[in-house]
Amino acid sequence: MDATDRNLALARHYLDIEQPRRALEVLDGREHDVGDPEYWRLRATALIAVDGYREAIDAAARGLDLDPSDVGLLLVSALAHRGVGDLAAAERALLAALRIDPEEPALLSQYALLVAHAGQLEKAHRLLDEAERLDPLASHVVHARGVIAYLSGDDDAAARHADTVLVDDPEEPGAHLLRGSVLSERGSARAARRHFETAARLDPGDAEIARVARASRWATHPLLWPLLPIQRFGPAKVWLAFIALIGLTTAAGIAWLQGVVLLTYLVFVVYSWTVPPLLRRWLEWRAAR
Amino acid sequence: MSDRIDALRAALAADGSNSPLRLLLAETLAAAGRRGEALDEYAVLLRDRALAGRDAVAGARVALDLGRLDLVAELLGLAREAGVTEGVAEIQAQLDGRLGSGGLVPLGPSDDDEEQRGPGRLELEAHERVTFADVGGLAEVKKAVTRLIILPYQRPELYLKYGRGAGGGVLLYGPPGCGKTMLGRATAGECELPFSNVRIEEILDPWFGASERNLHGAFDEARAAAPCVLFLDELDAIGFARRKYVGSAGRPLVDQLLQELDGIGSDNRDLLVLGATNAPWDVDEALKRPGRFDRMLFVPPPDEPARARILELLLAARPVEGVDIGKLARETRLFSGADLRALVERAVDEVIEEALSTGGEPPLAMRHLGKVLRGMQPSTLEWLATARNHVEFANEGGRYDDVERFLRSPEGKRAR
Repeated sequence: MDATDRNLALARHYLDIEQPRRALEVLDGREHDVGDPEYWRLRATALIAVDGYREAIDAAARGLDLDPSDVGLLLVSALAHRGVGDLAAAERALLAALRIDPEEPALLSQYALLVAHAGQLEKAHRLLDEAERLDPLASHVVHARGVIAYLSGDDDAAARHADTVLVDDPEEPGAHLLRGSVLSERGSARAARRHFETAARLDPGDAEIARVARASRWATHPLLWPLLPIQRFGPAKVWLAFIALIGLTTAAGIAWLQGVVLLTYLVFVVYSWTVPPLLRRWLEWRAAR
Repeated sequence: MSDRIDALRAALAADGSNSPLRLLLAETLAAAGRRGEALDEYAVLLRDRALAGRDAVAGARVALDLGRLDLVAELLGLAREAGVTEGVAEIQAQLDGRLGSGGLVPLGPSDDDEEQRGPGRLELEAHERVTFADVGGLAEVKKAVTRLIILPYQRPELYLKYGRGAGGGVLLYGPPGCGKTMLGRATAGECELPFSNVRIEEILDPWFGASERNLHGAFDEARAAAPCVLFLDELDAIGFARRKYVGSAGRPLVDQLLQELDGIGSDNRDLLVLGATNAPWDVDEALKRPGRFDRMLFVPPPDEPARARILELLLAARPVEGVDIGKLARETRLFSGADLRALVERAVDEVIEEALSTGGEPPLAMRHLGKVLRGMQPSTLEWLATARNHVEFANEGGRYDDVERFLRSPEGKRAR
């Protein structure tokens, strides 16, 4: 075994232990064989992990120049293109991979997520059905179903799929994140916070999960309880409800009640505009002390 | 790649005295695997004394791979003159191993002959000895290492009286480039013991079972040389949390490490074990249990006096004029030792560029350092951001209280 093989093994190991930067250091700084597609696959994978999507696209392209039928490279190429929002290029890469290996559940799951993000939910479900048929136990399929259900507004299905993953692996941060998102949508801020904090505890290295968990903390502060209707139903519905109430009291000719509703409405508007940002700043300031 | 090499060669043919270009050619050739040609270029740069310290280390690696031990020695000498420490001791150990004069256990032949390849590294040389005096700052950490590792070794009778023997593991953790490995080496120096540095790249082997065998070999070498300090660098890479492994490939290595630390079938007396990691949260929980690495010590970025000391060392061998080290130390909060080295080296590049364009030989001045500093961010920021998440969400049992204290300190608050 020569030094280049050892270096690739080391880079692969660093990717396995979620240290993409160290993998990149190995791939950057040592002897390597740029004629080996594996080098480019590892490089593109590491770059995606550090959000270097554009460089990852280039790296995947270099690898695909060497071996256009490398399914792994096609997959990372798709992920990199999705990272920069080029869904059409991502789809082309995934379709090319699926032409080579049409029965790979991971490819089908990724394709399902891609088309779901593009709004083609029915197609996404069909793809996941196929993935599930090929591998009924694959957790990525269940997780993808949960995400797609959440994207399509089917909270019950999303919660069910998240629970299915959690039964199998109670320490799956993504499932906790999904469960928390569903609960948050339903206005159960406290329960949502528990799931978000669990996700952050299980994967503190993920800056996005930590941000969501922090936001969930201040969202459950008692000062924000008056705003729970907005969290539960959304601002548009709450404002519409107020307008309807004002209309009703006007139609009924109850002037004093109309005044109370109007005043409540104004206080609510001012409160919802001012208190959350002030509270957030105060909590951040307190945490920094 | 070959187009680039051809272009560089053509440019050099036009101006053979252009050292930066020659260095670029050497690096490109090395990256392309054309090490023989790369070494020729490094040799020219060495002859012209046109190599910076880190580049000399890179050249030494190439020379070592090709068995040009005379050049390795010269390049290492140049690196030392420039105040570079990173990688020097490691290459020196390999060089000594090849010469058969230095370490207790020779490394054996080249990487190609894996059957004979020894994974462990033992350094005994007096001239390489580093002590706590060579490590800037970190007073608290040094005190803790003294109490946990050095005194139990130096005064065993006192500790035995209270039922505490020498040994036991200490895990040093903190942002990269802040002196964990140096501290491990200095611990060995303080005890006047050999230092065995075990690194993942020396252990890892894609062949089934070979990594575990290499790890066992490293421990065996250290046991044979006991008493000695066994330093497990990047412990998270060797002992990654098994529950996080997607596949099962890395798990046997963790199992093997646990066996070695427990001394199953072996005698670990007088083996002073130290570990270091940038990611303590990724180290397998079983490794952090009593008797293994149950003491975790946070190695923070250097404080102001430590930065001043590091800068002094980095600037010592260079022509400087009007450099206010105190001001620089104040303006480099959260910079790691590696960041400070990068700062000085980039400033030196500025000086060289100026020298090339003006034809003079200007000394390194504050304006060069200031210009580079304005474009630099401490590399510790990312680590500290991740550490904050761990403190906030995953600090079971107060494991990261030291980090929390640092983050709440005036120095740490700058990381927000």
